[in-house]
Amino acid sequence: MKTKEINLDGIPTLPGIDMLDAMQRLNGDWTLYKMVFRSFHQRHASTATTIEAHIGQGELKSAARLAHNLKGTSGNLAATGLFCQAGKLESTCLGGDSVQALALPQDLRLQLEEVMSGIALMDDDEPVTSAEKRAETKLLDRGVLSELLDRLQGCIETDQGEAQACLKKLRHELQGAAHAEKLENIEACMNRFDTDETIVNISQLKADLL
Amino acid sequence: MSDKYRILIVDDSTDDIHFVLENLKQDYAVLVATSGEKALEMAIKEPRPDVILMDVEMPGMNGYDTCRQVKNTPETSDIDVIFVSAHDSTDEKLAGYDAGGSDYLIKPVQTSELLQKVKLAIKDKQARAAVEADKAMAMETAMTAISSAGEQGVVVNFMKNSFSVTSIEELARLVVDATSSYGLESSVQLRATSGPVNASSNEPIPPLEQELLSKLKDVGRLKESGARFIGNFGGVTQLIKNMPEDEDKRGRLRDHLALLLEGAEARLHALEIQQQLAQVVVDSNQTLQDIEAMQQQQKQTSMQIMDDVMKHLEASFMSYGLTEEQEVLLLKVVQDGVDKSLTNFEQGMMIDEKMRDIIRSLERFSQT
Repeated sequence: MKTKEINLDGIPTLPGIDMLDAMQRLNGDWTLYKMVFRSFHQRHASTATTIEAHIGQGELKSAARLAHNLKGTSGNLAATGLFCQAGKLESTCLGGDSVQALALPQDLRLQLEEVMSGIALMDDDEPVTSAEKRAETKLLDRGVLSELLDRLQGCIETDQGEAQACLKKLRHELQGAAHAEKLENIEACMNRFDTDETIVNISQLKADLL
Repeated sequence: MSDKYRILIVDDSTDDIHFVLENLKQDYAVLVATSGEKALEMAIKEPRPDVILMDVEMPGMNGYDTCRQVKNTPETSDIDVIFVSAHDSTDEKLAGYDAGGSDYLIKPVQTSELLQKVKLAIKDKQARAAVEADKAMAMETAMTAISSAGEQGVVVNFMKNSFSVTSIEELARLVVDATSSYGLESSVQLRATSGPVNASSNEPIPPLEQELLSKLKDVGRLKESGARFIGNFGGVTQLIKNMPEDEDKRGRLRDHLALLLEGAEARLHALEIQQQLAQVVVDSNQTLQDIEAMQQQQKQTSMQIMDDVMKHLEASFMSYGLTEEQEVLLLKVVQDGVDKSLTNFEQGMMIDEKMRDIIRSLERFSQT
């Protein structure tokens, strides 16, 4: 199977991350990587502490489950060291050795902190392209918007890739418009794969626009 | 509706979903469920996914239980389930296998491996679909053969029963009944020397239909138009009003009906000969009886004449002046002549008996 050539120009090197591997996993989509990384940052900020607490209370299975989740996502993010450490902790907890397990969260915390520190290296905003700047001044084409919103609603449960493509076009159409915030809500729901909430937000935006 | 194959990703970690989605969205229509329960809901809904990529550790229903439910639901049992988990032990893989999974991928999933496994699952599904299609085709062929054998049985039964009919009316009814076995409404006309005989699945046969049957004998051997079928075999014409639309069935019935009508025509011909022969026997018997009566009459008349001649001769002896010896001799000559004449009549009666034997043989032959 052929792997896509990945260009790392303009992409910062993040601590604890194999950037080439990470970018290859997401077809070089740096924006998407940032989004996933932020979500990871949010979800796992206190994971090391929680795992430590579970081990302390003898809840090794719960600790193992958390370590397992952390291992999965850190592997996808190409946080190699964290992935290994989480795996080690998971298998120790599953083995039932609470004494040895108690010694591991500290290393996990260090690995996690290293990876998490990368958040500071990420730009918050994407540079606005000249085409997008031009879009700010244009009038909204309600026909096009209506069609795009209908398409988005139609494929949100059946084709996420198509839904993302529709969202991208909508973002372009609504660039700088007053309704851009509502579109962000839709995007957030889509990123959580919450289809029910996405549909509610699409309906609201349609009502506002049309 | 997209004609792409559909992949359902089931994972409670939205971060992990993005990684898989990103690698599949170009080539596949990707559906996403963030729980086992939601996955079951989505899997059963049309359009159904072709492959499910299933995480194992999920709150609520875990991946194994979800897979088991997918496999135990008739509508979704054919969907391939590939487990995608950070669990990498053989025990876990066995658990996945036991749950009905077809493959197992370890997180973090390598893009090339993911694409390869999904492609393989799709290929397997296509192969299974092809086998299913072959099986369905084989079953259809078998059913057609069984059905055709049943249809041919109608023709065989008709042939068998046609040998025992003794009248053209019975034969016409037999043709209609055999045709009804195919679920067809028909009317038939058998044209005998004595005149046409009609029968229909809808009795009494309306005059217009009778008239049509007489006219349709000239339209050619087999003629079809819409649901109508007309068959002409010699003196047999059949009109069917409800031929099926299914082209295969229609073709088979056409063949069976042609055989049936051909058989009916042969039997009609035989019945005609049989009936003509029976008439010949009746006529011959009557003629023979007439001849016999005439012969008896002739015998009696001849005997009366002979008797008169004898009496006249005896009365004449007085005037002839013959000796007694001459008279006896003369009477003997005449009496011998009378006796020979009687013997001759008796022989004529034996010829009658011989002719009666021939007629009896003909009678037996005409009844077979």
